[in-house]
Amino acid sequence: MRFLVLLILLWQVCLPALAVPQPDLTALKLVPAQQGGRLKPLDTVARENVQQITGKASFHGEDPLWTSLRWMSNPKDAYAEENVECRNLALKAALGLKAEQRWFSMNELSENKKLLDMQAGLDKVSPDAELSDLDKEFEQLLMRMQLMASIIDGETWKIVPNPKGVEEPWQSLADLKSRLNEPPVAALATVVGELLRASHDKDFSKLQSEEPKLAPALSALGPTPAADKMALEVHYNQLHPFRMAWIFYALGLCPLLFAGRAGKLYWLGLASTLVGFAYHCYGFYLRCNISGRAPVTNMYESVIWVAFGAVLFALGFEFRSRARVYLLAALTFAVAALVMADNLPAVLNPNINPLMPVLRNNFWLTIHVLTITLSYAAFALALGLGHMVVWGYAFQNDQKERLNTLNKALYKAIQIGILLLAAGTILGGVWANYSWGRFWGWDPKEVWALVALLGYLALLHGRYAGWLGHFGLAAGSILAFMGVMMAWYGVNFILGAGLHSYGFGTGGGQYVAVWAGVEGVFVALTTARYRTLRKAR
Amino acid sequence: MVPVARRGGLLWRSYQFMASIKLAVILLLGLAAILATATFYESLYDSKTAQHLVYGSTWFAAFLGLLFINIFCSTTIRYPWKRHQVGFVVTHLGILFILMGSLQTQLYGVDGQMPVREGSSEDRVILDKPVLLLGPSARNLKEKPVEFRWNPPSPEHPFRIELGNGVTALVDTYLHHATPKMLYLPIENGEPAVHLRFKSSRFDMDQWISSSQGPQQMGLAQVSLAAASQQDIENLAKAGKQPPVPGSIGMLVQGRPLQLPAADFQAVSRPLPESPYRARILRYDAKTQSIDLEVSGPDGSQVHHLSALDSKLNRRQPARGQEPEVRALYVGGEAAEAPSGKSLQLFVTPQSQVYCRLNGAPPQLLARDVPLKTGWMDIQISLQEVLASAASQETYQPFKVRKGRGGGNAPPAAIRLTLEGARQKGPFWLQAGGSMLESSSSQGQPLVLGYSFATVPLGVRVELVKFVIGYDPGTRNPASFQSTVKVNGEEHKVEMNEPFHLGNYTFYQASYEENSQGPQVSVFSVTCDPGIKSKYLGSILLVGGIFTMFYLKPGRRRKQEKAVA
Repeated sequence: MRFLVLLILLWQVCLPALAVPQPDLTALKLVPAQQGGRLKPLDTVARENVQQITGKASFHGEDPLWTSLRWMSNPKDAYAEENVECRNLALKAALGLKAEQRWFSMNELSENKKLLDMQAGLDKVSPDAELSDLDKEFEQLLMRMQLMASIIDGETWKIVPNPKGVEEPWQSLADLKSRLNEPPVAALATVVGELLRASHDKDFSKLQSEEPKLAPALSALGPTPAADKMALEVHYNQLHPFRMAWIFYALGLCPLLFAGRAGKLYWLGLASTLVGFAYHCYGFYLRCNISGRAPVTNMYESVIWVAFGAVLFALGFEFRSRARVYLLAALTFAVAALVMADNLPAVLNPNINPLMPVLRNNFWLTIHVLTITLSYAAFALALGLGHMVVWGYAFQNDQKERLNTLNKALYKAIQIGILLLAAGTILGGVWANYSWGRFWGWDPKEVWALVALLGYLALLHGRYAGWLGHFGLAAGSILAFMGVMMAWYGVNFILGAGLHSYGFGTGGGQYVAVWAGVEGVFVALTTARYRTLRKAR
Repeated sequence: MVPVARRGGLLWRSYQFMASIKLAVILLLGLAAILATATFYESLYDSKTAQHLVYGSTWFAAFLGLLFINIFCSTTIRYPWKRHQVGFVVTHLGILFILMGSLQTQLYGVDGQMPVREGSSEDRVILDKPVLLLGPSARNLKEKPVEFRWNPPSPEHPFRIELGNGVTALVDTYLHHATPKMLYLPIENGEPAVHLRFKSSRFDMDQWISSSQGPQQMGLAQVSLAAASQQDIENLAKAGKQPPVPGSIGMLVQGRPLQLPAADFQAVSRPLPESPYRARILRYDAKTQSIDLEVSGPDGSQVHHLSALDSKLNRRQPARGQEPEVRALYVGGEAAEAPSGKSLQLFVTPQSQVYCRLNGAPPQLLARDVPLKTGWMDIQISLQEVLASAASQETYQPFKVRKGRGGGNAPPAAIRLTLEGARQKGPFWLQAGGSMLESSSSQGQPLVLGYSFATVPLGVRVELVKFVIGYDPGTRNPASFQSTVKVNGEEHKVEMNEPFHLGNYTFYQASYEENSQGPQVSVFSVTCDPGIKSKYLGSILLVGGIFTMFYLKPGRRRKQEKAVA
């Protein structure tokens, strides 16, 4: 326990020490802005902007809001600074950019002759034609450059409220130039001018005395949303609850790996898991409050939710049965899932965006998607346990008692998964009947949910038929999870077809394929070893 | 079945086989494999292909039938059921109910669309099933289901349909997504047309240009085509490079008013539409803003002197021969140029030679397949084909759907057919949902033929009173749709996730069509699902059964208690 506390302290002490000198912009972060169809604090706007331009959540360790302010206050330096990300090697080669460089300045890019030529070429391509991969990457780069220009011009800060209401279109700082004859606008312009001057001069004390003046100057122009909601979101942004969760899960995983069923190490692992779980719960509490809906509306949220479900089930089973096998399986999966969600913003987008109309039904969204994803969680737990069983039979054949416990645990996980997946798929049918007018339409997402269910049903029936033993069920639970992966990830990212198009995306296909291949090889090798062991007996 | 089958007999053994769990495992894995394959087909092609090949096919229905029998037998063979089998029986009964409900839906259900324009009403549901409409008049049509997609006809193997009165339609081409395309065919007394290819490092496209189209804006340049005599070409060459004459000419041609850009008549005599006359500008004086316009007809010609500054100065010279029935007025104006100042004028001589004039420069002969540099970026034009006298004909060409788009916005299918034993043989093109074809048999009986979609009558009219879209704050992303419909004098609301029930039918807000003035057409999805009760009952049984099996274990707990006792 002392070890843990020490680690946390170290974590808290190290972070600020690494940071570059920068101002503390507490009041500015809370200023509400209208962007992407919702109201969010400037902190979020700046984070999303900086993430998109530089590909990093924090550019050179800077607070993203300070980075944005720096760019806005000093356009000359912003254009000269190497800050626009371009990582694609083929694109860099096509544009004649240095292959080893990651960031490029706006000046360099906008004077690049090849880029201008390529842009003229892209304009000529008809909107119906399919773009090549290179053109797609190029389009992304152009979008980043365009965004960078509008950040510098202050167009992304839509912070000027509309007197007609909070939901009406707001204006950006750039839109204000024509309204300077209105006294409150002139007052606002003075505040903004002072802020930008202080930022330009890097006069941090001046900046910190000026920044609290912006919010009152803005609220003089129209109604603004409640401050506590903005504060909640800034708090969520800064806390990174899901990152804290995986750190504690990882810390809990280390002792559990060596614990076996021995006392102290197990309790240490359990304690760290509970801290991580508390962060995980708190993160969902914050995110639901910010977005006003269940946290399962895109791939990022579902990955985090499935990790949560796996740990939840593991803790539940653990407290009921005291088998001491569930946590290891669940934590391995949860850490892997959360680390991915934390580090792949291009594939798993963490931004909170409004939903498409058909999903705006909290009751069905919550009940259908939560049930389905909880079943994925149960199967993920079964996947982890399946690995432990298969490994046990292949290499630790003497631990009969542990294997028995594991077998029972695996069976329980599959059972709850089947119940939830069947119920969730049917609930999906009920919602589809209510919203689209048909219970079942052979949509790829529906079909793959059914295929995943059929896989596990075949396992259970194969077990009853006597074709599968304990080892077979465990190996099968690893393979059957590929059906879940297909229903969960593959339909949206590989097939890209059907009515569940709101979750579509690209990227990560190769990694998933490699992982599936590794699992296949793992099952084949352990099966071979298990067979030889059995024959030898 | 149980008492009939003698244990050990053939019937009993086949019953046992059909009820066996091993068959169940094979069927489960088989179904999973079939479904997985079907989804990849759907991703590669589209959902209708997957429906046709798998989900809606007879063999898939037979496979599900086999699964039904397997589940049915495995349930009945365990009769009389014991207490601990309650979960098992209920679960499998649930699946049977779901399968039965699906069959009912497939056989008797209706699933269609109903687009309704704001302020108007509809009383039919459109199904996604193509039909041929045929009958003696547009009011009296019969629907004949046809599906060409999976078995397209060809000129060698046309699809024959008897239309009555000795007329047979032969469908010889089917295009699944078709867009209309103009073709030019040589005829007598037609208009000149040329087929040009525009090529640059950025694009490569070809286009027919004809004189009847008038000047066309293509990219940055204005392109026009006119017939011209060899004399006209020489005049143009003599005139050298001259700026276009500004303004327009207003005319009364045989009493009909007409207004055309003055530049059209520069140096080349241009036919005046729907009249026997032609006109050309002989002289333009920029200082006095006046022109000399020569109007010529088959029997004579006359020169008009027209001033834009003062119409009192307008004079007509005495006519040579018969005086053309044309009055003219020159309306001057700003130096009217093509927006970018770029123009491409094409002239076709009676000898089918093509001259081109770039930005008013002297004309150059355009030889076939010899690219000409335009000087606009790196665009080159080359002549593909020239017809001195041609007429346009509408035809259809296949439209390639971009992968991943699902064909949602792709144009509908089109068929080409000829009519045997009719007065007009064709070939004719019909596009699904498009206009109908009217013809008559050789004896003169009228006949109408159309290509459309099957419809189902609703029995009542549904009127769209209002359609409203709500947006996310500060964006144009639709956040909600709401239609107000009027049925039998009563108003109802239809929204996303809020359907409206009308008898056996249910109306869902599916999509909308919008133009610049806002939403115009609200599209409802209309369904009637007679199997839904059976499916819902099955669903409840299934989930309840699984729960009972896994967590309640009736009978087993009692046994354990007994054992403890």
